[in-house]
Amino acid sequence: MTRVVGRPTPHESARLHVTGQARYTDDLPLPPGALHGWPVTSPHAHARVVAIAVSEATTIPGVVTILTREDVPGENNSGPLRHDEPLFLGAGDVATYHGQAIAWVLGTSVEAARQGAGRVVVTYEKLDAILDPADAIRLGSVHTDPQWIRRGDVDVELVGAGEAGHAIVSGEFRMGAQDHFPLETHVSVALADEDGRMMVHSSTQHPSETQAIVAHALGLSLNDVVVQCVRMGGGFGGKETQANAWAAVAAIGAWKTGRAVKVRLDRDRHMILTGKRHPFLARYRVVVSRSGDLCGLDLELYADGGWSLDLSDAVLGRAMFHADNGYFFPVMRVRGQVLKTHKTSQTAFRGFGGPQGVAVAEEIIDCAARAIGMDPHDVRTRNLYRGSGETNTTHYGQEIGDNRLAIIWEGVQDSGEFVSRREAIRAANDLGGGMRRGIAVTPVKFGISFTTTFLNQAGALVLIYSDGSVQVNHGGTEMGQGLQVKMAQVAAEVLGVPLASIRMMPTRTDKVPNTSATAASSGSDLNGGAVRDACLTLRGRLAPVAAQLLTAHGAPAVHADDVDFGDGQVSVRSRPDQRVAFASVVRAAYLARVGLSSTGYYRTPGIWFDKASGRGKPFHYYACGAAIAEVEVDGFTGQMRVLRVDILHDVGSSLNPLVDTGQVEGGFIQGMGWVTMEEVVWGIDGRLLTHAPSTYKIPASTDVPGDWRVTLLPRAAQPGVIYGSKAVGEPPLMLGLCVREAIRDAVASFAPRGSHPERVGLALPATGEAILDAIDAVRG
Amino acid sequence: MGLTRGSNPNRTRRASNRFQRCGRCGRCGAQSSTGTSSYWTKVFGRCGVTSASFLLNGVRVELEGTDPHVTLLDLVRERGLTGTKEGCAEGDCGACTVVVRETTHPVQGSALPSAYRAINGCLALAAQLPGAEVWTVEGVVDTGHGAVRAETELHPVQEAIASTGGSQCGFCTPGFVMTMFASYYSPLVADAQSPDPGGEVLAGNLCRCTGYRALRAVATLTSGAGSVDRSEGTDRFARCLQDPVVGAVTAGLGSAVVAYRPSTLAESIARRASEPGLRVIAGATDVGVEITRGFRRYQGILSLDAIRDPIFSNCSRAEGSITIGAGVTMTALEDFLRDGGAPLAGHMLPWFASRQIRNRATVGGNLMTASPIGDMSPVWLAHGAVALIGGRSGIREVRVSDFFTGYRQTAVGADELLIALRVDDDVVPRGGRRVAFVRKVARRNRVDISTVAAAFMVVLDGNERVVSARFAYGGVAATPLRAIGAEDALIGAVWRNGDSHVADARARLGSAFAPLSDHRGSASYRQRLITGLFDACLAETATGSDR
Ligand SMILES: Cc1cc2nc3c(=O)[nH]c(=O)nc-3n(C[C@H](O)[C@H](O)[C@H](O)COP(=O)(O)OP(=O)(O)OC[C@H]3O[C@@H](n4cnc5c(N)ncnc54)[C@H](O)[C@@H]3O)c2cc1C
Ligand code: FES
Ligand code: FES
Repeated sequence: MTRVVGRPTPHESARLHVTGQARYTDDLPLPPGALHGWPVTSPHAHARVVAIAVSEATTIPGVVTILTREDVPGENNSGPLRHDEPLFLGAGDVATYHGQAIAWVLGTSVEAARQGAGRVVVTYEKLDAILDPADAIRLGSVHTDPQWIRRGDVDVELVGAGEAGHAIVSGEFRMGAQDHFPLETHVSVALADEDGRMMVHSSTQHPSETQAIVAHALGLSLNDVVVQCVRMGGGFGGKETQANAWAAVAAIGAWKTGRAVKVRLDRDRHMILTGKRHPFLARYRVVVSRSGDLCGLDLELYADGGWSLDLSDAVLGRAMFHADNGYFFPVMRVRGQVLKTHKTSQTAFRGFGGPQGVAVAEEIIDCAARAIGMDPHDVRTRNLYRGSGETNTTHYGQEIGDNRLAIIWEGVQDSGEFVSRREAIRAANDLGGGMRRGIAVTPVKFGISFTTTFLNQAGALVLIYSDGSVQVNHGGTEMGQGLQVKMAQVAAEVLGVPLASIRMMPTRTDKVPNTSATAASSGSDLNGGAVRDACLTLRGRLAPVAAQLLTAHGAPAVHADDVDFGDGQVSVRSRPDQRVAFASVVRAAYLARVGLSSTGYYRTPGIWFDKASGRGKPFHYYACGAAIAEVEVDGFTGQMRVLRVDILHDVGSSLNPLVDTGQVEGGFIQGMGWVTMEEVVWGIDGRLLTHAPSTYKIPASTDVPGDWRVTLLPRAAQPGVIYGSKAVGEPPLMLGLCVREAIRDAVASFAPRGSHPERVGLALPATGEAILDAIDAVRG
Repeated sequence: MGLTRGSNPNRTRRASNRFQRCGRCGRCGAQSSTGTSSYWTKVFGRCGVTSASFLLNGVRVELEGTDPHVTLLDLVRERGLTGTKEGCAEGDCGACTVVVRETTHPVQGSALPSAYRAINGCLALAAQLPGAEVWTVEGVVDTGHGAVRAETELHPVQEAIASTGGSQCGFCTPGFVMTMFASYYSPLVADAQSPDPGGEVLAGNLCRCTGYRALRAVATLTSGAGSVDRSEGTDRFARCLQDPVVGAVTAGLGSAVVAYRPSTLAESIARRASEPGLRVIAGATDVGVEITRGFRRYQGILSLDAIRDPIFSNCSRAEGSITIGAGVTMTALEDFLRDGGAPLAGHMLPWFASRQIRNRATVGGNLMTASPIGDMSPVWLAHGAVALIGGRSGIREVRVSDFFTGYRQTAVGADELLIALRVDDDVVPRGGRRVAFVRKVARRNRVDISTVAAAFMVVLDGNERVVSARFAYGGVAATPLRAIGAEDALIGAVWRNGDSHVADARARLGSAFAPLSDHRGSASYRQRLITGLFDACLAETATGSDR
């Protein structure tokens, strides 16, 4: 029987993508009379609204109405957890970031609405803004109380370090924000139903939450609102919560006017109004032995949450879980807190705090190693999680179990000729000159599951029609990650039908209720479990029907347990040539009045976490990988080129190697972008200065390594996960960190001949300017 | 993976109506006897009748009454062709990429009269459309019934992208398809000969999902460096390349906002003088952004892209100098300079914007923006180029070093137009040599605005002594500038590290400018780049120095 899972199957919409036929929310035909929204935004990062005058705006031809606070029939809020995100501001309310929407103008064209917005006069009383995380710490501007994770007593370790002959290395480290930059910006279209209920098309990663926010804003029940997402033009976490507000505004507009309302943020509005990857500030003290063993770490992590809480507490939590990356710290204390600043509300972004945690770990390793005069590479190798028991247990008490770090670490260095290349690079750099090369390997260990345990559940609804064709619904959304093709593969595999018999349906809240966001890399684990469950139920109903059909006249009865589903046929296991078409079985089942639709459900087993004690098993398993980067740095200008990258990554027994390789590649480049060229800059007045691709640079085709070798770890089936596969969405992003470490290696070579710099400070992102700064610092 | 044309899906469709008579005037009798007619010929013939319409995927679209500010992107999307996407509306992401079939540059003989070129739909204005032949992703595969079915045969470029994992979310994909479609039929030597052909072809298309590996592999094949069977065969797009393009039609749009598109320089200058409120556009890659992102609207538009005066539209070569028309696109210039001349320009052009932008952006438009961070200005300054400015009383010459009169201001008067640039070769003494150095420092290597750009031209005699030097920078002051003090200090110096004149020149460079801080870089970084680029130049070009 041909297996459907595990094959390198192209994205299920690939043909639609290349022909331009794939429809996104912005491409949906609008009904006649549809309106478009444009926001009136705050020109101050922090200011009290004194008054709003809308009358002038209504004089613009095409302006139909202006939505203000008073138009909200339900709750004027889109905060997903804490209700701290007003959709509209009125007199007396306080704007808390530059660009915050105060009101929305609806017009018959985008142009009319935009012009109208320019005529709404809002007067403000300016207030002091807090923009820098250090200021927020100093002023106690926070969203949350601190969270803690502790292993052993780090104070004892710090006090005893001197006596033990260990070094204490301390430092402060900042990481910049990152814009998701999905090519598709946020779009929502709301259409009021005949009875005032609402249909919303939204580019959202979390239709159920969008549904809830819309319902609350309208004062409706959840069953009054249907949200659909066909597909997104990229999400990366940026559409997990950040799509909700625009859907709510569109719905309020549709409610008020009775006309369809589309809210599409243009690129600048998208970047100015919506949250990004959290900038972090870390302060650390690490105890390291003279031979390079990590003895203890005292770490404070501050996530710059921006103006509202959003998901920041969970993002911070994941950063705290990942501050060890792949390294064993026998004693560790992590304190984390979310800061409140007058900037966009930072949000989920591929890795969800994990990258910041991992970056801190790599920063600490590098600084600790150089301080004691060791090669950071040796310190990495020495301190990887290993063995079993304590040395293979994280700081929050989870046993890593089947630890593949060592195999991957060795494997990538062997295939990537790390040692010989490093020698050659050292020798070349020793000759001096303005161009230097650097090389580094970094590992990644990433925990898979939502750390908020209850979110780890999923539902599906599978429908078989009487001709044997199948529709599959589940709660996950497609944003390019290939979830739909994987789910189609799972359904086809279980039902034993060709992929072509499966149609994946748009994600809708009226098909599967109460879904979790498509996030945390969990899409195929969770929804795959649910789709499989539904298909197994249906197969269980079809098997007896098939058995009956397969029982030859007069022969002993074929038992339902003895039939196989595969290749569009159902066959007798012991006599595979005795078979009947799947469609015939379905037809017979229909005539025999057997139900041909079923829901499916899945929840991840065995995970828990106790936030108060900071201990538990928050993750179902870990996904690991490692990457080597070789770079060339220009000592005259700080410019940098990535020459070669080798990646070895564990995706378990891949459901779809074509899709998974694409995830690894795309994730790597996105991570590389974060640590190199992508710099989000806010002005001193809190204005976002980098709000379009002209000023905010994501990697282009010419930035990818000329020599790029990506391998998926072979023979890596993961027990207890759908077909032995592993989550792949987020982990590879952190592989990009090796580029920063390779740059640091090159920078170190600029130190005066024969000396080893005790510290190579390099900003994140390591832009050309940051690299030149670092070179100048080590040149002395 | 390879691209084969063997089974192109488009081979027969529409063949039946290929012999149709011109639908415009019915007089010239244009029809194709060879069966290789373009749709343009089919509909309009070659009678030159003006019409405010253009061809979109072979279908005529009326522009009568269209506001000249409207972009091609909006025009096609409003018509339900939503395959072309908006990712930024400022020319930076390529999601809006469409293809135009244009006349092959007159500057260099090409075997074929026309070529497919990728452009940004978000910056092409309705004012520039009459007479154009535009292809969007929907036109690439002719399904006949509007939907792509399982059995629909895709174009080889589409098939290669779809089957190798070249699309994830798919939002960028139509743009990539169109960029590669253009290079598949009309590859550019500049791309094919670059060290990274696949990367170069795609530099104007951003993809946030894939990491580009699969896409680069396909583009390497289409770039001209790969092996693609480009024989015409049955491919309707390849066949069309044999047909001349009618090209820009000098039609107004008949909208409330006037749009002029004269075919001669004299008429353009006269119009500019008589209606000073008009906004002049050439490639509109700069003005387009003012319209789409700055939301600017003008009283009227005067488009120079239909002018066919050789001095304005072509490049020419004479003994010891070249002349570059202000209306010449960067792509055409790149092509022209492959035969020599203005080496600094040739070196800078690959770093200039993207292919889509270079296909439209003109040499004149670039200089006229007087942008302090424009990349070609330092090049022309270092070449000591001369600007030819045309007014009603004729042409006057102004050195580029006197051209920028203030922040975003030029010596071109309100009733004048920039006509051309002349670059005279630097005379090199016997046994001497010329040092030509160009570097653009930006956050990203391609399609980015300079933090600092530098162009240096140094002439050395046989003893490596500096005979003349021009050091020009962008990004360091309110206008692109030369470092005259440093240049003077260099005269007579021996071109190597350690020479005291060289050290003096370097010191003068260090204090020549007072650059500003912005989001692209701090003043301190720019200051260090000013001298750093001098050091880099010296390290690269002085004999016996180690890099
Ligand atoms: C994505 C993107 C990337 C870019 N990258 C770069 C880059 O790397 N380097 C760089 O230098 N620039 C860059 N630019 C800026 C711009 O594309 C160039 O300056 C371009 O050369 C302008 O030429 P154009 O023909 O499109 O000018 P237009 O936009 O048509 O016109 C620009 C200005 O010149 C005037 N003008 C045009 N022609 C004449 C004439 N003959 N006489 C008098 N006035 C005239 C117009 O009135 C207008 O004020 C980029 C732009 C974009 C959108
Ligand atoms: S929409 Fe981004 S380049 Fe045109
Ligand atoms: S596939 Fe999503 S942006 Fe390219």
